[in-house]
Amino acid sequence: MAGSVTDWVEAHVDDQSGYKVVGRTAEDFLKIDDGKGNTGTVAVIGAKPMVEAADVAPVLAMATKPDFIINVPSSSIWTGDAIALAQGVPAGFGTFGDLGKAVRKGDLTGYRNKEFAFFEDAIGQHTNVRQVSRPYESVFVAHRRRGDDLTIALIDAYNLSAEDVRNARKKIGAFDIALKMSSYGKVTDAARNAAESIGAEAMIFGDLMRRLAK
Amino acid sequence: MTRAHNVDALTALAGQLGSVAADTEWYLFGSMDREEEFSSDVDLLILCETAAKADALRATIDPDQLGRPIDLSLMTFDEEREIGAVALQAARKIYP
Repeated sequence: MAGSVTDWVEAHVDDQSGYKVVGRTAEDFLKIDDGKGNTGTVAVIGAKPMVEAADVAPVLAMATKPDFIINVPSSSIWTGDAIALAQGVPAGFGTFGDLGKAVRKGDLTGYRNKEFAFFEDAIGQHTNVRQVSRPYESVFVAHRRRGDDLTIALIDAYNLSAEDVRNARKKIGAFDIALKMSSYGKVTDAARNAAESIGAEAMIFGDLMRRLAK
Repeated sequence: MTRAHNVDALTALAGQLGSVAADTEWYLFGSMDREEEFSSDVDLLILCETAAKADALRATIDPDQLGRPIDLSLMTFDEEREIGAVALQAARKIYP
């Protein structure tokens, strides 16, 4: 990935993106326009393997705040602290792909992965959960009234495979539950075995609600 | 970036990976495969024989090498047979 990450993103915006890059700000943020009267500014950072608050703070310290922050590579994991910093501005955040989704929603600054928001709300509203914390974008910790805390890794896979479980463990460390986010698809037996081998469980949303109670 | 462009890029990648991609099958699914307007990522399913091969493919494939992030799903042929992932995801084979 030669050149700056900002250059890389600009070079990959095409006629299928749903917006165009029309210039740059003095802060080197991309100025985008969807051709429907919606414009915005996008900061691009290059943190890996984690996006920490310290990676986000410099672009938010500029005189002009970005409406959205992209991190490249897309495989990097946003920490809860970095998310809180961005949302406090507010600025949307995510991958190059997320920017396209945010543009199409017409809401750059408020963009939030709706699936993650659903699970955060659902876990937090469980009667046996007194608080939810979010160490990483895709990881929630359910602090329960009865029983130990449960660390839940959300896995955005149509079907949950053993490799999904191993990959999550490698990227985010130990967890108690690998949760398949999609309401479609299935969890393979190998995925359940892979989770069990690391002292965890692989499950779907309905199972999670029951697991939180016991 | 069109479906055809992505298929060309991914089949070229599979060829470049040599032994890492040997005895694997690659499938596209999702909005890019359906050629929907403004797809945000490339949904790629790769089937392989072993867990070790799946891990090697994950380690080797750069998800940012195309014009959209590659959303990579890896599973063994045994897992696919168990749940019928290709049919469930309406995936279309692109390699070999």
